Amino acid sequence: MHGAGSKKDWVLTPTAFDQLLSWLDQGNASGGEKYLEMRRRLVAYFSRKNCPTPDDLADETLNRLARRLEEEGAIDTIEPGHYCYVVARFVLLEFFRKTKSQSLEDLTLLARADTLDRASSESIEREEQERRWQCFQQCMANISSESRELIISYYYGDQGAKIKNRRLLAAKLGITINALSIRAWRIRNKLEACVKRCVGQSEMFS
Amino acid sequence: MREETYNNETLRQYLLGSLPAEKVELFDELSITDDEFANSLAAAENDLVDSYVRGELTGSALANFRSSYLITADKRERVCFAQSLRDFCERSAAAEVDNSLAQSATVTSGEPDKFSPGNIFSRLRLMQWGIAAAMVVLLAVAWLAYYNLRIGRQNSDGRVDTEAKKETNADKGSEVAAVKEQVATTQGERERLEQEANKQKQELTKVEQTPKNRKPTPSGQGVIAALVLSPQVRGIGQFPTFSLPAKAEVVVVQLQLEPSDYSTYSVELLKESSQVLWRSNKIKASGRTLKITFPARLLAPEVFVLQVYGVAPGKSEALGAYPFKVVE
Repeated sequence: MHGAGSKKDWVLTPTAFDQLLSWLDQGNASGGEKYLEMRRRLVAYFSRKNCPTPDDLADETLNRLARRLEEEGAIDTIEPGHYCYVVARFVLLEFFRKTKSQSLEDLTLLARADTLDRASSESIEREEQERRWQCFQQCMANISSESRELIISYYYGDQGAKIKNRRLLAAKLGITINALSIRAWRIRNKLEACVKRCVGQSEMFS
Repeated sequence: MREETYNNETLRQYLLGSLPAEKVELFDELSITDDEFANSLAAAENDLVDSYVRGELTGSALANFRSSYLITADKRERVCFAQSLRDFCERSAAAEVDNSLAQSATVTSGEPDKFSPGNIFSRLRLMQWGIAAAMVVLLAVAWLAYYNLRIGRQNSDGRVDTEAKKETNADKGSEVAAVKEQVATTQGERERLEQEANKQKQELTKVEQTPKNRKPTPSGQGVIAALVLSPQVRGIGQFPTFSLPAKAEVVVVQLQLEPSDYSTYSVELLKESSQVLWRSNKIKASGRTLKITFPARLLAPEVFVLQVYGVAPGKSEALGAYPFKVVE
């Protein structure tokens, strides 16, 4: 059964979105965590390929998956992760064709020139730095004190001191270094997303 | 996924684009399909960015990072975030120490948590303060001892040398007078120099404002006279052309923008084959004009396109294309 209308007309509905979440969960309800994690991986994938809009391409990938699920009813022949990868590759290749890039190397060979008119770009950067710092502080204040202490302890210090701190911290929490690393990474991930949203909102109103 | 297939080094190579092609495809797939690999990769990327921010990358690793990683806006944002995190951690640690010092007089019973981050930092800092305080006390004691010894010697002579004191005071008085005179002279000299500098500044301003006195840019050096481009109109095959002087170093272009909702833009210089040669930083327009500058060495006698993008958080929209042709 195929959906009415062309591919371009298709819109992600709440029902289709729920179907996508269930499919990604594979029977273990995660409250949307699997979706968020898959989206993060897709964004990182497109970012590694030097695509200028990795978020858009990740959303495009997930939209196509949702549309396919709605059309087919179910996708049982392939695991969600693998199917996401296959669709992501198609989206990437289409992106390259659209931008008429000859190869990945073309995207990466960008000569950044020294412009004479640095004044305007430097002042924009200063504004952005200030905005970013304010957002960072705001986002830090919004997480729990335990998370804040953990991440400060985890990332404080240079190479040698950092490793020692992490061992002590893991011992104190009664977890392995690996588990500590994952915990710190999740907190950092949330903070990065918070800062990105905050910076985006403050840019909109500046 | 078995960890023998990858390690921190290979993950770093993958992130910096220096892994062999056959492994890249495998890692691409694992980064989406394998939980353990995806977590390890994310942690490796954070470690790499943190190393860069702390100045721990050197040599080819640093060069590689700059040329391969800092290419897109979202990766540069990750670096900025890592810098903020580093700064916040350092400031928090310092604040924690100050709090600990303030609370040190009211230590309550109960075993302190030796391994809490605050106590680790505060103990180290307390040691440092303690050593510094001990040194100050030692110096003070040494000075007092010396002073006492000196006074003792003076008193053992049995008399106070008032004449010597008077002479000393007189010397001091003339010394002060001499210093005052020197200060006055220096001040006068400074005022004179300031007046001279202001005069020269005014003269320079006059010279700059006089059109006749403006030195013409030597032909073929420095900036090419501004090239003004308008958006491409469909159906017109002819492009604006200009001749590139042989010794030109920089090209300045003014682009007339079409109305849009964007306040921030970026521009790409492309060959006719769509190969991107150069990309600008984010720039703001002046009214409906956008000014860009790029090295003249990127140009050759052929057709190029300047593609303008409107930039907003999380998106970039192609707005107008400005083709032009360079002739010999």
